[in-house]
Amino acid sequence: MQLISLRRPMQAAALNSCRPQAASPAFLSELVSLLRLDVGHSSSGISGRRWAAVKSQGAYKLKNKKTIPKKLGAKRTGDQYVIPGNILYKQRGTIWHAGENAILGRDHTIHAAVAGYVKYYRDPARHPTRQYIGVTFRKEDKLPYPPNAPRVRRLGMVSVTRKTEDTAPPVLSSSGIPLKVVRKAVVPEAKAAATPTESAATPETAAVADVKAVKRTQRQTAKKRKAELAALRAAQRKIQKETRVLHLQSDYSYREHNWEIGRLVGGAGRVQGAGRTQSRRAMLRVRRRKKQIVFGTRKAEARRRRERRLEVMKRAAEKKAKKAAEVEKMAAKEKGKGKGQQKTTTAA
Amino acid sequence: MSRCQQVGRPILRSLQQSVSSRPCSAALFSTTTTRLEDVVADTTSAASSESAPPPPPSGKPTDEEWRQRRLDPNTTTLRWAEKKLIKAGTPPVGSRRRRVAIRTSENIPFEQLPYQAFQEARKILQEDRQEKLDKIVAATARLRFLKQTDPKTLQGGEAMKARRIDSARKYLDELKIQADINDPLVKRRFEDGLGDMSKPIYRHLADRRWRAMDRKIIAQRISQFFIVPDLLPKFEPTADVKLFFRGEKVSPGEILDSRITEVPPSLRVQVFDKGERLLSVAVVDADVPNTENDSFDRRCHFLAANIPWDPTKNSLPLSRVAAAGGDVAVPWLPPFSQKGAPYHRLAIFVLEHKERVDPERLKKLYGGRDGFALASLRNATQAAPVGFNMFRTVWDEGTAAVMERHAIPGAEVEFKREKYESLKPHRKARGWEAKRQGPKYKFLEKYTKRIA
Repeated sequence: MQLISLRRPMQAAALNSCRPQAASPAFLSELVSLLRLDVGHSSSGISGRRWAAVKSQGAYKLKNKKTIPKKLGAKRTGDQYVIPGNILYKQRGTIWHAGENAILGRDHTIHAAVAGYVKYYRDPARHPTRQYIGVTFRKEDKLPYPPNAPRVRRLGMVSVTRKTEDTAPPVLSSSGIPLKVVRKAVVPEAKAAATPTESAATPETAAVADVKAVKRTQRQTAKKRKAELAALRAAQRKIQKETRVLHLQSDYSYREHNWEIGRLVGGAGRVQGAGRTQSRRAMLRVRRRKKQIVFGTRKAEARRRRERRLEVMKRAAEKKAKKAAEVEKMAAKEKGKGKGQQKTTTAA
Repeated sequence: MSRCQQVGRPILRSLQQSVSSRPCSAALFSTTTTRLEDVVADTTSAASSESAPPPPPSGKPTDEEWRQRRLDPNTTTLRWAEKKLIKAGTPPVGSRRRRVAIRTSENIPFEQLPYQAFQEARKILQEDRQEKLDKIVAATARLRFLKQTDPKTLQGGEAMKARRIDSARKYLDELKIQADINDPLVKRRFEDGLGDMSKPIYRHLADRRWRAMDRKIIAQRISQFFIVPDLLPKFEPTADVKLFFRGEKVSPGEILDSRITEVPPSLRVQVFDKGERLLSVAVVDADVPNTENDSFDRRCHFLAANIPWDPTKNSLPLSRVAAAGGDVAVPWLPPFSQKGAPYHRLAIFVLEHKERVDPERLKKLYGGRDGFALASLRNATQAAPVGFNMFRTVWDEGTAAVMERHAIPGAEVEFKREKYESLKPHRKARGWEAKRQGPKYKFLEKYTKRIA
């Protein structure tokens, strides 16, 4: 700094010396003053006069009391033990970067992510100029770790016995009234009770000649069964749609959940008035709105698909178990029969 | 009728006549016989597509015949027919739009299409191909010559000879690809999925397609899930491995339900370099929690070796490795994760080796499953990892049942985060409430019982 402050006076002096001018005592003193180091207090001290008040003594050292101190800087030294969440460094901007097992906070504060020992280091392989603060599990470890070695990890967990939730959800509220009331759908009896016709098996006694007729009846029964199934499914859908579940509210009234009320309009992602539009522009507007609604339902869709898959698996497993049970039953029966026969034979 | 149509008409007619006059019984019921034929004639491995539409036996009702015609993988667009074909293992070829186009267009073989520019372009391409073929002949001759040369006459000796032969072979392979790369028929066959993987051009095209996206995703998973420093010091996949659980494709790194992963997955392994080799498959769990030394272990969930493989093979169900000619050293253990533990990375490695490995030895080495290291397997079998895929598991509602079914202990364990004592010294409670905790202020309990 001193050299820099000297530069200008030196330049001026050099220029002056180059000028063809007779040297005078006044000019010399000027030159000397120019060459003098310009360091505030010493220069004023030399002259032997003080103009400022006593109060100003050392005033430049005092900090402005109007600003709150931010208390930035290192809060933990190298090799010091820290636990998760401890603040290692407070800063404006990233003077230091978060390294191994350290977290950079919202205001660039660096925290420890694990319990261990603080290390200040550089990692030229990651970045040529950045400086990092990291935490290692062992005090003698050095950062950065060698590049192709497996990561040093710690479980940081304790094992306890798992609690199994067997408690059924409460049915009654603390005041003794039911938490929910189901209002069942009213369905016409005949249709709801309709079950698909049992069998359309070919009669064993069918002659070769009327195979065609048998086939026709088969087709018809199949058609009929299909229609019945469709009716049944429609009835089920109706029941599902019209059954209302009313939940107890904090003011002891019963009502549906908000989402259920919303479903009255239609399924998720359904937009009112999207069915028929007057113009192309309206159609586009509806599509835009639909897109906004559909946004974020992709995950739900994936979940639904997964659930469906699980459902299929479950059903297959159930079927298998049922079959196995049946086979077992049959085997047991046969065994019993065999025994019975044996008995009869012995009796005979 | 436009001018060019007028011009093209006589040519078309003559072509159609020549086509229809071909002796072909199938032409009676299929509109696309010529295309089908040309596809079959070009590929050596198209026997499956040939057998797909079985010829209708005479004497059946026309309904049946119509049905059979709809089951042609080259032309069908019906949903039920597509489903049936997929089930039969001969999926419909190309897009539906293309199949419609084939069905409705006239039967002109591709190379005879009556467009002048097209034919001129074809001529240029054919010339180029001829040039490449000549070069191939020359390169083959040179390779033969190199093989016969005495290494003593060369300056570098045996090593130099080997290097020269290697470079000549590389050049030859490149020429083989270059000869076919501009052929539109080759391109079409590849895009239809009818490419013969025993030929270098189709392998080249498949490799290029894999590298365009799928390999990038796999490489990203390898780096983002730290497969590379954790399981292997370095790894560059060269074979395509796709993962299917219960017939459904799983994107790499997906978190899967433990009930779905209860059965072993099936892999689609595509290698892109020629020749027979043996494959090994290892499934490794990289995140087995170890509370004793507060760290993570590895566990082997599946290990099979000696699976004969070549580029024409594709499907490798891990439940039927023995049927494919391999040996299962360590059978499938359903992946599981205990409650509260961080997700487990299940890495599926496909390794390549030249010589057979003794499965008994593998069983002895890795039958214990715990502490499995891929580097150890690599050293023990001289196998190089070529393919990779992965999925993840976490604790879910089905895990306990899965573990019970397979007699895996540890379902009753739950992991909780370790608690750390504060480093600050304990400080006495201060404040109004703290002052009024004694029996003297019992009447103020309503206000003083909650103290932070």
